[in-house]
Amino acid sequence: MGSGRPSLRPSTRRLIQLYSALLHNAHLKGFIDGEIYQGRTKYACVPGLNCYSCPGAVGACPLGSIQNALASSGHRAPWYVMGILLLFGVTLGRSICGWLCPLGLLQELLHKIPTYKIRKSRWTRALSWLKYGILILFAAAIPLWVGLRYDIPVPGFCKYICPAGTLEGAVGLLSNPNNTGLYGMLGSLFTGKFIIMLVIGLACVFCYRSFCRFLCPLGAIYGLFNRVCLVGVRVDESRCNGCGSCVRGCHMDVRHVGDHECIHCAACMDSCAQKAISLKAGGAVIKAPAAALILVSDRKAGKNPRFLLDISMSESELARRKKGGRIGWGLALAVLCFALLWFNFLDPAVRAEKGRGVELPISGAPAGYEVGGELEDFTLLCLDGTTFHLADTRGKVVFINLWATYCAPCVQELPYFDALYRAHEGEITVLAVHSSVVTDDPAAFLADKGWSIPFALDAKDDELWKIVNGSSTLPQTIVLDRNGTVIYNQKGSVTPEMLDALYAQASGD
Amino acid sequence: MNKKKLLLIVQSLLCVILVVMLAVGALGIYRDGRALQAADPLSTIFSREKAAAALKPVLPLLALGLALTVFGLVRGIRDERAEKAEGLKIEPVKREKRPPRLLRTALLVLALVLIAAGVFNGSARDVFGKAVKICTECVGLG
Repeated sequence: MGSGRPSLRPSTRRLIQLYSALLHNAHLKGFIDGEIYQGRTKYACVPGLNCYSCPGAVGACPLGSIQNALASSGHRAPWYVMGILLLFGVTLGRSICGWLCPLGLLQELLHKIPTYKIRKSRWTRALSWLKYGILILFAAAIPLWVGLRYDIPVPGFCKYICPAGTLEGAVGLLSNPNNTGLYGMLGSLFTGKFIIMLVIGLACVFCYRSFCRFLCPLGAIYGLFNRVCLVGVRVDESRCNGCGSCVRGCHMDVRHVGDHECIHCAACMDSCAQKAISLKAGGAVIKAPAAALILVSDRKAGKNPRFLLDISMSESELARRKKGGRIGWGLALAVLCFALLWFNFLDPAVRAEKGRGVELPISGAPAGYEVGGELEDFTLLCLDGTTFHLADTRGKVVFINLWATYCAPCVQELPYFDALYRAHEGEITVLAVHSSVVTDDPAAFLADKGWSIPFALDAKDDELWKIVNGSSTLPQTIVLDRNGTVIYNQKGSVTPEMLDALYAQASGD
Repeated sequence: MNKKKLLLIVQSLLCVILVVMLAVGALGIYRDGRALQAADPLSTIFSREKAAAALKPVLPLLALGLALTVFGLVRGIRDERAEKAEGLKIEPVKREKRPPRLLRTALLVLALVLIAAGVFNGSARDVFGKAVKICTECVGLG
């Protein structure tokens, strides 16, 4: 049983992983406010698996983005995300998994918990092919099939499996007291995903990087580029004697260094007695094996060897490289500091978050959107050319639904509102308001649906969203009784039974 | 039994018990909530109070687990058997020919072209839209 005390000082790779996790989630203010970041950097995908619903996330998740892009491929080809994945794959390959992915870091930290561990074996090697099946079925087939067949965007992996979404998004948002209202939308889906997250977490404690090795579709995609990627571990064939120590010492299910399972963590460098493995970016060495790095002058003088990057390197070059390393870290810290300042204080999108959709305590709440309040009057131009004026609806029950074409549960529940409207026409007013963030023309989307309810588009400055306390989560339903008093204002899907109950309550029947 | 082995056993069991307790807690809340919802469609299955009540019994075990983890890490206690792979077929190291640099360059250019095409055809906007207005069910809130 191991009892030698390893150093508690974090390795360079660990520091880079921590740095990357912080940079992926630089919007720390989101954890305090309970709101996600809505700035322009979310046009860009981050390299690692980091859910965009995490309050701290400053970029889009590449895996979620490719699923949504495939789901929308009936409307337009997913060139953008494909290009981004190709760019990341060709430059970094699975180095992203080993050095940058926040979820990879979390898995490694969980594995540090001192328990019995499950060893790598031919079974784990066979299981490592599962992630390709998950990629094909959940990340590709489901979004494509449901998107093309029903025009409903369903990111299969995100919705049914992804532990990052549950941990960072669901738990990240729910743990904030400002988001108490989100509990109302939890049901079977959350329960199932929560249990999946727990099981994956437990597996990571016992088995190194279980999610990464067996389940992650993003790792599966990046693994396809491992042979061509610019950055990665490389074997010097002139030194390699084929002993296989690198494979035995590796925690991943590699068959050889640098294959599709290799995450380029460079742990194999320590296993190689021939010092044949190094971490390279193209031709440039990033990290060379220790102890093969001998200062020529030391050897001649019979001194203990010090470490160099090249056997012929001079002392001055060593000093220059060390200085370069310090400058590199300095620049990296400067970038991080700027990112923290920008995403928490300086970004106009962050400054605009004040007063938008934050659920304040009752004493400080903007009047009107809470249950028992009266909504501020508003007028919206509907897509059919008519005008909706809230004040004109007095005497009728009013349902306002916030939706978007790219939100599957929103699209799935619109027929329920339509059915409700038809059942109580004359006694009820329904208005479905699309988010100001438009990807597909709502009018074109609705053209062949045959629904009777009026649809509108929120103004660019989210005017209606602010009035009803809308936020970054969809869908949302607001119900007013015949006197115009708010009786329901909740985020989350509704069922036909809920709508009937709400109508009964609002109409006083 | 030596103390290090004991710590590993205790910690292993603790992790399993914690996960089982959390899973059972979540299932219990769901089951009770569904029963309530059958009678009143407007009642919610989960609430902050129910979640807090389910977490209460777990907290002492979690604290114990954390303490044991810190102790184990400081003392360097770990399962060294796991560092040796078993039953693996070690293949002879492949002398793989690296693909030509031209291929990598071509792929990089293709990536940039696709990104540009995506900006023009609106697929970049799709990424932004989903990332700032999140569909709750898509992240497991449903």
